[in-house]
Amino acid sequence: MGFTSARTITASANQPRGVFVDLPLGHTTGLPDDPAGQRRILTEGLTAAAAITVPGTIVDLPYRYVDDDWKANPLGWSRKRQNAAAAGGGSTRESSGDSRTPRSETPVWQNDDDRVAAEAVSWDDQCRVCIGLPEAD
Amino acid sequence: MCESSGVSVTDAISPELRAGASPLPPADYIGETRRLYDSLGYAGYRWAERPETPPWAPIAKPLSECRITLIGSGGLYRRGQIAFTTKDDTSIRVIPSDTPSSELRTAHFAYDQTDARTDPNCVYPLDRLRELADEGFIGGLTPEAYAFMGGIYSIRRLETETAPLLVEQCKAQEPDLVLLVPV
Repeated sequence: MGFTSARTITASANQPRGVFVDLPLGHTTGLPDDPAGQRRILTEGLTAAAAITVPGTIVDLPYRYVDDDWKANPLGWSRKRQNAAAAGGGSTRESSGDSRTPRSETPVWQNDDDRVAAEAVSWDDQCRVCIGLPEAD
Repeated sequence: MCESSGVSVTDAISPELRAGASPLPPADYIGETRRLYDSLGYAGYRWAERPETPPWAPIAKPLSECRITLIGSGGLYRRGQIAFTTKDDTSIRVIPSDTPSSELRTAHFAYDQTDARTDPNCVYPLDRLRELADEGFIGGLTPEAYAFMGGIYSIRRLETETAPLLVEQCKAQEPDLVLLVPV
């Protein structure tokens, strides 16, 4: 079974059991620092998905984001813009454009000391937890 | 009350999460991506289309007895592991199910990671699933969970490289249920 916040993509791929969570991308199982909300989404979603009897069914959970402005440009949602809008700095809408990070063929570390921590682990040990990596040079 | 997590079903949810369905239809990411690619002069992306009836396996046990394997596509890695690249990285990460969320990181290019980096449970709900296992709502978690970076443009490579790795690893965990959390 799978949760999704991209209903059209999930419907096209047609997985056996789906649970739709109508939140911006990056919140498939809830909003940050919201254990009570995450818990509702998980418990209600798991229960509903386990009850599905028709393959390909997607259950719609009865939750939504605080406003619907983000749906005007769903690929452009960002926390920074959301915070600015909440502070009265403007709309959460943004003109279209490619807001995605440029793609890179090198690891994109969240923190630089993650790279240091990973370099301290032997390649053999890495290969047991990082499976399918290209061969080391 | 749920003593193990300190979270009760009556606890207030985030003010950003509203109960009730949205009056607007779900975001159409297929159409949005098509429009974005058109505006950038890119060729149209071919999304996976599987009109045939999907494979089906009955769930043989109640949730309270099901051992679950979590798979997330939000680019999660554990500190000490190698971060994902963001260009068709088809590898997977083994995330021990007892990993504290403070040890989880993300590397992805196609969604705003701010909230996932603040609280990985937004896209990889290990903390919540552990709590639900402690409370008996689910039977438990398998020793290993898995993660990958879902922005893999080649469906062929996803199907021939990433998916077989995940299937092989998952089978060895002998789960009753696999929970996919894509981004």
